[in-house]
Amino acid sequence: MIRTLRSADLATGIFMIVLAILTLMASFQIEGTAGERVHPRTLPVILGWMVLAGGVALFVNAWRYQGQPKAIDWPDAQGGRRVLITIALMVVYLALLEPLGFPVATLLFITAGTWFLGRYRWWVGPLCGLVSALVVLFVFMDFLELSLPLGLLEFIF
Amino acid sequence: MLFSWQMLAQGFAQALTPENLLFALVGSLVGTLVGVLPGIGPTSAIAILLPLTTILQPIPALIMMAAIYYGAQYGGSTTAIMVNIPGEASSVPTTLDGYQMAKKGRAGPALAISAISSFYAGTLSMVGLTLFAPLLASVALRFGPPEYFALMFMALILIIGLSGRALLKGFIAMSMGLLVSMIGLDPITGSARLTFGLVDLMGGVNFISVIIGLFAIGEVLVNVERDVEFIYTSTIDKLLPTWSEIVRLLGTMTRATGLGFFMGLLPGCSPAVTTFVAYDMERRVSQHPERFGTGVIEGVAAPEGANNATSQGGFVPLFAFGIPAGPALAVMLGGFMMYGLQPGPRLFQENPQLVWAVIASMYIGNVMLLVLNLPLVGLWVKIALVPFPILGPLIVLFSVIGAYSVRSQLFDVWVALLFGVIGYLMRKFGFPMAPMVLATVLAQMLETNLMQALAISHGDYTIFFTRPIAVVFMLLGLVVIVRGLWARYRGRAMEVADEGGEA
Repeated sequence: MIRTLRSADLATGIFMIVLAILTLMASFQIEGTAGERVHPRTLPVILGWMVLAGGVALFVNAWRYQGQPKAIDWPDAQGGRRVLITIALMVVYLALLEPLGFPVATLLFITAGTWFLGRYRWWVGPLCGLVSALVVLFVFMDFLELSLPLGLLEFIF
Repeated sequence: MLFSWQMLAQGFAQALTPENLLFALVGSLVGTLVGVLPGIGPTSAIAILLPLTTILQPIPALIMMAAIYYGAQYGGSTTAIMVNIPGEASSVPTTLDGYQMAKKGRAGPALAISAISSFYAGTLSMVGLTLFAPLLASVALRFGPPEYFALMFMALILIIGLSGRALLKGFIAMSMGLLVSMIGLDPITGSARLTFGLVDLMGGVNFISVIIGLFAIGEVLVNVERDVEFIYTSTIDKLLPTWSEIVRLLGTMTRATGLGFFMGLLPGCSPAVTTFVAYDMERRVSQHPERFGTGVIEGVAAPEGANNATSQGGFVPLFAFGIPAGPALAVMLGGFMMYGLQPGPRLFQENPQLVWAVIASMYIGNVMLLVLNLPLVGLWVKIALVPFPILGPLIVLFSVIGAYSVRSQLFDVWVALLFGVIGYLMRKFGFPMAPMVLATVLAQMLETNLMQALAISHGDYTIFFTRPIAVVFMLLGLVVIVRGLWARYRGRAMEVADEGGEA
């Protein structure tokens, strides 16, 4: 677990170095065309080196740091669980967007999200979900004519 | 191409049409709303709304976007004064004396002077924008690709150097922003770059999704962990400050305007930075600096004036050079690009109606915001008290719609979610987000100008150091780098503002 800024910098530095190596490897595979003055790989290669330099510098700085450890402002166990469950809710929401359609997936997401974060009376979440779904359907899709997937409702509208 | 009364009059004629007035009003309302609500700021709001505005003509859409941006600067002070919760990072200094005034039963005068100072600074800055932007644009007409590349290089370096204390982390954030923008097809040759064989990556990573993720979803995750709750404590009785107070504050408001406007011309000097500087400056010039923090009205007027002056001053480099001074203006630049428009000197030549209509609309928007903010303050405070458990999922919903609407691809929404998590981690690990946002938006222009410059010089990189204007920009950028490294070496790294703030 990354608890201090020093360990975060070490981890981020390693991540940047790996990312830079992958970028450089991928950049050198970019094919150019004959006769061009500047190869299309020019900027990706420069950026790969920049990320590598940044990653190495971050790692070395963190490695050499000898001051007081600075704790990262992570949430407590309950807060961490709320963050993870919120991310999970968003992942499920996105996964359902196309099969169920925007309005139905929104109804479920807002209902679940409001209930989970607020623990209000049982009807508050579904009411917020229903209003949001209707806004998506009639304001965004009907009035503003955004092409959002209808999913299940394709057979009705 | 200097300022002309005729063009400004034509701009007002455009801005005063019922449709444009309506969108200025909508933008002002939305801006005030996002300024009031702590979970969402102008950058997220503009990024979310940007794809939705493509059904509009460019002029009303850009009028609305601009109004959201400067409107948010007005709204942020309301909750700062009433409930000690700054709606935006730029409103933090306002809490110091504004909330103390509210606790002493002077919430009304604090809110009123906040709106009056914002209006005064906003209007004076508009005069500056009206005069300076065309003047600078005429200078920028002499720029070629090397000068533009050097200017963008300097802008990116400045935003790293001025936006926070972590120079190295700012550099990494900028590099990552540029790297993300490289994914997809090469704009000139069409070669696939950094796609790792994935078809979804061929179309590139849309910067709107990146910004929505970093700011809107990232902010939701931060608020989720904190279990945010708001308590409304202050009441408003007498609204207006005394006449003698307003006269006394003219000096304060003028100083804040000058400082905010000129600092606003620099990339990286967001309102989140200048409000702190203006507050500090006012404390230094005061005969009673010890009273600051106890509820003095100058402590509200100075940051609020600087706030609006900076936000409107930021339009000068955007209109004149096409260089955004901060994340929200970078999204505005993206808005121009979505309409096939390129802010900069040619915009004044090719689309004068558009530029002057947007400029004229800002004068009108300032009046609208003054009218909206004074009588409706009670309403805004009540809206600010919408509980986060209801607001949070709605922000996610609007983010999803905004990200999806750019290209009607679910991939873009996944990208937004991924960058939401990255934004959350960046806040935790102390990485500034402004350099990443600016780099993401500027990447395409930066690359095009680099390629064109190298084509002119037959691949010789010294072209950036042999042309007089380009070399000035490059050297300024290098000076900022050396200064930052020196400050770090001496252990006096600049501590200008909080990193996490959106502006």
